[in-house]
Amino acid sequence: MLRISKTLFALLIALMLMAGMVNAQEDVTLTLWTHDGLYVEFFSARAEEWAAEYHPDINFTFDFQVVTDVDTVVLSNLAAGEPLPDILGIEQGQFPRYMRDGIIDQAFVNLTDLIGDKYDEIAEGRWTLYNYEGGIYGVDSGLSTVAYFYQPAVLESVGAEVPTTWSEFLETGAAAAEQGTSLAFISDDASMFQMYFLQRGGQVFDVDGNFVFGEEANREIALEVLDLWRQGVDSGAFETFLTGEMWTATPIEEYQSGQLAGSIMADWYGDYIIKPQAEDMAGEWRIAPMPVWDDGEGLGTSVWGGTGFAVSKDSPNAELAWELIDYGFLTYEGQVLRYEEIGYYPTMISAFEDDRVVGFEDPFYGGQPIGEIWAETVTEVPVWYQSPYRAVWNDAITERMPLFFDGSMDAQTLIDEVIFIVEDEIAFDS
Amino acid sequence: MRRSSHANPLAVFLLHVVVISGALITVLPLLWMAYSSFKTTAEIFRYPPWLPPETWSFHNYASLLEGYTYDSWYGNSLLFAGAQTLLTLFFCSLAGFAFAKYTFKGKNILFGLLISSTLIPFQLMLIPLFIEMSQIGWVNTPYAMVLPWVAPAFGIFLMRQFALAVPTELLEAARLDGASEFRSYLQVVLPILRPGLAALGIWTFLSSWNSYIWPLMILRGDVNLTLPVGVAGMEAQAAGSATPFGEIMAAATLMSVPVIVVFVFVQRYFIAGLTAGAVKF
Repeated sequence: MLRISKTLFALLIALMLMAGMVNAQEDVTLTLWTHDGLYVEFFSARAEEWAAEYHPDINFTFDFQVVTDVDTVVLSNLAAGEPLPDILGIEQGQFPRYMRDGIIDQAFVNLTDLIGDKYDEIAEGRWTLYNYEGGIYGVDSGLSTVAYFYQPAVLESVGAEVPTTWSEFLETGAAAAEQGTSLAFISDDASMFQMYFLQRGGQVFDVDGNFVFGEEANREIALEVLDLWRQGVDSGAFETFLTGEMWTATPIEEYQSGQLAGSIMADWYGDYIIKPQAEDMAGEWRIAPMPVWDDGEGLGTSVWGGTGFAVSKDSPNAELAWELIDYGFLTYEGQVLRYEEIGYYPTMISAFEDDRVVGFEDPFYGGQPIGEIWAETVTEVPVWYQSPYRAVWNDAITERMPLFFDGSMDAQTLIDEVIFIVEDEIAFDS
Repeated sequence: MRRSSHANPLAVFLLHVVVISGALITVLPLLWMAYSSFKTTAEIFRYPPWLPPETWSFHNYASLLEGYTYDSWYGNSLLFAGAQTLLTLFFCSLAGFAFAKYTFKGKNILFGLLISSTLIPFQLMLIPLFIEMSQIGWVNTPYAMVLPWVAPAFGIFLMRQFALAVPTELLEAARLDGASEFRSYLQVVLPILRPGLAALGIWTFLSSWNSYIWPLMILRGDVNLTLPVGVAGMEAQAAGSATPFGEIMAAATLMSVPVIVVFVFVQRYFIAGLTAGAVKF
């Protein structure tokens, strides 16, 4: 009897120890919300590697989701005190919504100290657009710099060469337009204007978020850009689209018919707009650097787009969330894998020396090693700043641009009205 | 003097031009959507855009059902819209009947408050209502999708207008026969309210079926979504590969089927109900 009791006791102890061993492996669910399924794909792959390498003691569940209208959902959750995901991808155009009333600082971790020395390894402009009162709240997902996507056969058919400066662009464009071809398009979307404005060296807001678009230097730059646009529109070098048309089949049809030779757009435009909508144009495209200003002022490229990954302040797993972002976006290998797997160009300057980036010959561009084009200007990505009033500026520009295109509003009136509207809104709020 | 029965031919011609143009403007996008659901992406973007597909392929439909939780979205939408419609018809007709046929203290003030609540934009109520749902733990539950919307002021007003037409003598006769108030409502009032119920039913079903912002805020997780939110997210889900235009068109085509069916079968009541309700005070 005693023997049986001893055996049972030993068995019980053994079971308790085993249970203890099992419980020693902590259960953690890490959540991520984003608007773009590619980030889900990328982080899901990285998370498995990272967990196996650095946290074999944790039993992870990765709940990474694409959430429709993610910012509306997140801001509603914040208002109601509902939980946020551990990691949130904030599209840069939505970032000003989080700057309002300091939401970004109240709800998300200031990453500045965590980023530390890695700040210098990344193109600076990719940090500043997630700056709020001196702190950085997002790690960007791609370079988003600008170049000229063009069809060599169309340019050749109108006897045009790839323009390298804006004066060449106007000259070549005017000649091409006489034969029914525009070199590129512009639109009323304020981001399009901002793209040209930043290249020329302008700033809408300063590092402290002050509105500086009305300062004389910036006003002059804005007028120069609009003068370039005026000349281009009048000669036909630039085709114009409204925002609603820009993302539809209209430009694609014009590319196919040769009415439009190309577009000056950010790096994602090829993979996410041209390729999916015009698969049959594979091999007919090439990329060239964005034309520069003839006086040498300004930059060799510009920028449009990006998504910053932020860490929720109330997350019980904030430290792990940051580790994963760091592993995925701020390591050399992570940067290269991001390009290889989901096509977003590295933001880490050294990654542009990797053969997997600069050596890749894309068949859609006739085997051109397009990474070299982006590498040329990676150090020139414009540094720019956000403000809660960016949406006011955007709306003011977008509402007036069609009037400018059709000639019923001149450049000075447009700029002065935009300055007045934004300053008035800021004065009203203060 | 007798009015001539012969209409001016020019007026008739112009009328036809306007009506046919209106019909084309309305129908062509729907036709394009339906055609596109049978085409490849390259064919969708071919010019001219409205031609029928070269070959009728069901690939987009198969891909939609395999690649997305479309059946769940469809089921959720049907469940929420159906439940909301039935409950709305019940509560609105009951309240409308009470406002039309009973006298009670504060009735006019209450009705005035009800009508004035229609002036409050939906957007203003959104966040407070969401906070309320959050505090009672209803986020991501069917209750939050249905219950806040089952007694809309417009519905009560519409039912009251119809209930005003119910002869009081009929209700008194029912009472004399020993019918309870609720039985009078069920067996005497409801049959008379039928055209109004049809109009309100369609209105409620369509509102719920097409609702976007509320389910977006309330529902979490892919399988719990409704059609408008799920379909809106299809492009983002497919990021990195070609935008699934064909699948999106197939999703939109299937999504419009219940709406068209419901409307075709009960449009007579819908129009009659709305116009009748509009003039009775």
